[in-house]
Amino acid sequence: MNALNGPPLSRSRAALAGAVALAALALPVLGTPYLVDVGTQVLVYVMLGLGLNVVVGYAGLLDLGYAAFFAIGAYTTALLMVQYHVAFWATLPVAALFTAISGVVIGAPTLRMRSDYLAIVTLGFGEIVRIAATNFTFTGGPEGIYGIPHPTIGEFVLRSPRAMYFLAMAFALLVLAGSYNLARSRLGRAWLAIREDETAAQAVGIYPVYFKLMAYILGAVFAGAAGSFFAVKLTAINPSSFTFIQSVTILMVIILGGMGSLPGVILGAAVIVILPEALRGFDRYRMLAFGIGLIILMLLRPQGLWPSRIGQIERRAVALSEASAAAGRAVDTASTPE
Amino acid sequence: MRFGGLVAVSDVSFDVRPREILSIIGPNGAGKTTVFNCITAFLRPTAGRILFEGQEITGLRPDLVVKRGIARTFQMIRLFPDLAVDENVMIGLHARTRAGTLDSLLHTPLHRQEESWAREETFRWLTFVGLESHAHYRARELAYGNQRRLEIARALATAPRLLILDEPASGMNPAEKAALVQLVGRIRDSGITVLLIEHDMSVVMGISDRIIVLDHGIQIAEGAPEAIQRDPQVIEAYLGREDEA
Repeated sequence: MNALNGPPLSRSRAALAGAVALAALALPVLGTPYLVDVGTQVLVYVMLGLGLNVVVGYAGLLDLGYAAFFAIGAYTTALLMVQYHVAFWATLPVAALFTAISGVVIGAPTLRMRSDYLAIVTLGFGEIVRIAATNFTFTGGPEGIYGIPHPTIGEFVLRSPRAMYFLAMAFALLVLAGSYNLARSRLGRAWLAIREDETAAQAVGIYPVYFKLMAYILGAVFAGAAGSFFAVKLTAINPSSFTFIQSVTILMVIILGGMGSLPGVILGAAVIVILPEALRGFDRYRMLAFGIGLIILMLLRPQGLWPSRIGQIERRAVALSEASAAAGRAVDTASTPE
Repeated sequence: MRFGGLVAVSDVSFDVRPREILSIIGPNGAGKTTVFNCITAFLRPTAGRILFEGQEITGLRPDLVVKRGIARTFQMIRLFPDLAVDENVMIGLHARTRAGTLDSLLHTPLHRQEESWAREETFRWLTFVGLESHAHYRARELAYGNQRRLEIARALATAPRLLILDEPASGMNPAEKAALVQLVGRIRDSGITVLLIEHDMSVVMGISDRIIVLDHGIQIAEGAPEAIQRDPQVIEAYLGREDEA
């Protein structure tokens, strides 16, 4: 309804969103196992991007070690399933708890820092987690953990690429719904206020420390969920999946898509995963081409592929004035005798 | 209400009486904003005490001072410039709503109930300051005088019993100033005490019930507007200096 009444820009966006949703549904039915697997990877980055978006996009805090939370979720699920034979679903609340605690651990000491210091400390945290996972024996050292069982629903074992795709979709939709709700909530407004002007936020009764911590915790839990899924999808994990480059890649997802924008994060995740796959023809120059592609994209659309709220308000105002103009025309037409 | 000796400034001690408009005037650098920052806990006084409704609030966190019922505006306007006008006011309702993290994540009935209340309350305050037709503009798009009014609306949304305005008329044209005087009067009439810093004498003399004069961090006079206008010390320190200029 709204999309039809809105200005042309939002109509084209609605069409794009519809096309993406249709493609996401058609993929597991029509796609080859390879394509379905690429789709699953996109969904993992959607989860990670949405989680980091809470920290960076909503609350305006930089995090260069975000892969650490991804790792903690993955290792928690992997260890519980392999060592203690816990069912996949039962590992999820434990992973959420552990990642939430790690969110506090990274959040609490860094909350009074400004962005550049925050970047260094979070980067350090990411490296500590990765190096710890490489050196501890209980995490399997550099080889990591393998033989992670497939998740089951009753008798049914989720093993095929298609089953994993649907599981990823379920996770991603939950994270998406949570992110959507957060953006339109008391908590989301507190984050916006802190991001825009921390002093003014305090002057209306917001305690920034608490809400920044909450951003880290929620971001961590979202990444943890992605990690839990990642562990059962690959059935083997090792520290090389949780490097600094991984953190940067997730950050790239949201910068590319448009900070704070949910459709943007989805598009960004798609580009980050699909572009390197599409460039396989370049062989040795594939990552070079990928890098150049990203630079070109950012030069063409520095605000991101699907930027968020900034600017949205004018569009709303335009939509309003167009609506009232349309209403005026309708009245004119009605009062004009045929 | 009692504010005792704020030594951070030097030696200032005054009471604010319920439902009055009390102005603090004084030349630049007299310490007016410092006094305000101490009251709202953006600065911690090195000595002295601040009491609000009989309770000590000295050195509390700024957000807790707001929850006690004191709201403020800033000398240099501090809005959330890229957010919509109505969002600015809605954020002012933060301390009066209590939906937590899970409520926000899941949009529980409590959250939904609070949100619809918040939208009504936001509209009420926007209407009170006359900005209801600008609700969907970005704050930075408002004219200067309207930005001041929005900042006041955001402060009022916290439901203060004491509202502290730091030079609200600065940079306003005469028409905007007249509207401001009228607005501040309506705020007082609604039962809110107003503490005001202002340079503009027409504004100060027009609306103040009482005036306190600071010079070099020292309180040199206190009284009704007519008495202040006649006070020789004040004329020398402040008004007289302006006349010479």
